[in-house]
This record gives sequence, structure tokens and C-alpha cells, in this order.
Amino acid sequence: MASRTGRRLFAGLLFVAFTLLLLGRIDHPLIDRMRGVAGDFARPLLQVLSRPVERADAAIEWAGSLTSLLAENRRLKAENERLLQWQAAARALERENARLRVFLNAPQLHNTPIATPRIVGVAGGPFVRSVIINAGRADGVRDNQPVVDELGLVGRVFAAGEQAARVLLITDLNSRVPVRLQRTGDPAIARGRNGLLLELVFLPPGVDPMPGDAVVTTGDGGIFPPDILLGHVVADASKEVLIKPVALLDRLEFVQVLKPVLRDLDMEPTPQDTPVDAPNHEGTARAIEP
Amino acid sequence: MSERAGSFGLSLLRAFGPAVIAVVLIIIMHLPYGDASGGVPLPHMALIVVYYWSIHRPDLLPIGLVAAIGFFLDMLSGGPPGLNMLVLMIAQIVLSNQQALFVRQSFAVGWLGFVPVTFLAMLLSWIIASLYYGDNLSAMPVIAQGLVTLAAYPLFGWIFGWFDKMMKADF
Repeated sequence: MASRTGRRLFAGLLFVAFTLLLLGRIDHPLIDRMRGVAGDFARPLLQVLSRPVERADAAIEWAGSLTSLLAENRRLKAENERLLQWQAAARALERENARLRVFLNAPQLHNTPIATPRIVGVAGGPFVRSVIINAGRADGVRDNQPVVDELGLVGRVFAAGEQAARVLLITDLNSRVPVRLQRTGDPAIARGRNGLLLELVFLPPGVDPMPGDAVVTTGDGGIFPPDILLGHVVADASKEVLIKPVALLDRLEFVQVLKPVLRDLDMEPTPQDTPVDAPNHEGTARAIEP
Repeated sequence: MSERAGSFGLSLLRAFGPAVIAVVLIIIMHLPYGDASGGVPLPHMALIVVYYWSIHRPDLLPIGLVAAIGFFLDMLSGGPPGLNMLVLMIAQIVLSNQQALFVRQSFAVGWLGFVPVTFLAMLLSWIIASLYYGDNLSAMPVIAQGLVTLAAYPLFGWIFGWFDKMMKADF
């Protein structure tokens, strides 16, 4: 490295590294494209090796569960009875909700699934919380599509490659999700902290969230569809309001990629859009006359 | 003909062996080991590779390859782009000036020398990431990764030593 050429090479590479940091800081699309290429490159090996890793995990979990099988069985039976009662109540409310929507002419929002990929990698490290899925542009997966598991919100897609994509988990430091408290309807933002819990910020003054309060998405911002369960408020001694996510972020296996809510509503502006006398077409949001 | 092919293969192995090992280990470290929430600290494999080859066979891992390894790690991990590229290059430059200290020393001395290198690399990573995100990030995940990296060094150092011997024996 003592030679002049070596020093020049080192200086050049340092310049490249700083340029990359700068491009990343301003969210330049080139960085996400390169991340997509790296994900595509690693996908075959990750896909092959993730199977035995998952099986080993499942075997360890199974061996661990053997010791508490009887107690777990009793707990699940009690929970099943309670859930059956809830199911009956939920079905009645669903019917009532559908009837009221017809009366009020209020359009229903449906979550449109795009793909149900497998988690093949954890793109982690000390500063990031994200996972790699084995679906990419070829499967219709694009940046900023919401991702859920069977229980709730997982995150959103970023850096989609051809065959693989990355999902930024809701717990990542860069994640911001517009949410509301289900009990009171108060809006807030759920901010990731690179830990196991999220923080609820920008709550209106005077709102006092209780431990156990459900936190759901609002649909604001055009990415996450409304009313997807994100988590529950947990008791904390500090002034911060913390949320424990319901999604199984510590053992994700399959996730579902959904259409972002704005694309689902077909709300992209077009040259033909006019403020008056614009014909409503199927699936678009309609303004309700007062 | 087969001798020439064997010699070509060995040249390729010499030129890219450590880099290929680094890339494969980086990919393996991105497998979903039971916890996608980042709760399980994993060793910084690229740092182990760069440290080992910089003190034992610096000719096999020039600065360009070190930068490429760091770049690949940055792109795959989704973290601040350029961070590991910068940290690994600085580690290699520091080590290339101190290499004489480690030549013909015992394995334990090599491991001991890895302690300050890991500490500096983790400190630099934490400072760059905190500046990049404009936030005072928790140092705990970096400390955990540093400790796991130190603990993993003997195993991987032994494997790399075996690989190095294999290349020399074929000569």
C-alpha cells in the first residue's frame, strides 16, 4: 500500500464508499437497484440453505414443546372455547356492518394479495431489521407494497429485485406507520426502534393509551391498507408509549404481499381527471354527498 | 493439459479464494436463524475473513477485493451503503502496517490481536451509522455482534488455516 498507485486506489475506493453513503442518505434509487441485484444474486443459495435451517428450527421448537404438551393442550382448549364465542359475535357484526355499508353507500376496501412468498433470509446486522423474500418484480412485487403475516402487519417492500425482495420490518429504525388506537380512534405514528417493541409518537395531547389497547393502521399515506392490526400497547414505566407487534417477527416463515391502498383505489392522477362530472368507475373511492 | 487446467484452477483459487469464502459466509450469515427480528447477534464474518487473510496472506486479499466484499455485505444487509466497505478497508490498511507483529506468532496471539481490531471496527460502524441515521443509536447490538465475532474467530481461523495449508500443499 506504500506505492503511489496503492495510495491512489485506496483514496479512490474511500471516495466511492463516501459517495455510496451520501447516495443512501438521499434515498437515491440506484442504491435500491443495487440492493435488488445483491438479493437476486444471493437468493439461490439462501433458498437452498433456508430449508434445512427452518427444519432444524422447527425440530428444536417441537422438542421444546414436548415438555409442556399437557398444559398447552388445556390452554388451547380454553382459548378455543373463548374464540368460538368471539367468532359468533364477529360474524353478527360483520353482517350488520355489510348491511349498513349498503344503506350508506360506503365502498368496501379489500386487501388484494399479490404474492405469498417464503422468508429466505434475514438482512439484519446491528442497524437494520429486514428480511429477504423469494418473490420479486417477476411476481408483481414492487417497492412500498405492504406485507402482512397471518396475525398482523409485518412491514413494507423495499429494494425489489427480479426474483427476490427485501421487506423493511415495522421494528426497523426507518419504519413509520400511520396508526390509530382502536379503542379511542386517536391517530398516531408507530415508529420502529430497532428493538422488539415500537414507539407510539405524535399522539394528540390528553390521550391516555391503556396497556392492551389495540393499534391498527389508518390507511393514511397510501401504503398500508386501513384496519390491519399492528400490535398492542404494553405497560411501561417510562413516558414512552410502546407497542408489542402481533406479527410473528421472530419466526416468520411465509408472508403475504398486498397492493398498496392508493394503487388499489386507482387514485393515480390522470390527464382526464376533472373535479366535476367525472364518471365514477368500479373500485374507485366515491365522494359521499353530504 | 490437465496439469495446465489444475494450475489455472489453483491460480483462480489463489486470486479469489478468500473473497469467495467471504461472499459465501456473508450469504450464510443472512439465513433466517430462528429470529427475523434481529434478536440473535451473528458474527461479522467479513471482518474475520479480512483480519485472517491480512495478517497471514495479505497477497491473497488486496484492497480492491476487500472493498468488493464490504460493498456486497452493505448491499445484502440493507444497512447504510458504504459502511462496511469503509470499515473493512480501514481495518485492512491498519493491519497491513502491523502485519510484522503477527507473523509466526501463536494462534492465541492472533486471537488477542483481533480484540482491538474488532473493537475499533464496531466503534467505527456505530459512529458512522449514528451519523447516517442522525440518531444516537443503541450500542448494545454492536457490542453483542463484537463479542460474538470474537467468540467465532477460533473456529473460522482454524478453517481458514486449513484452507491456506491446502493451497500451499498443492504447490
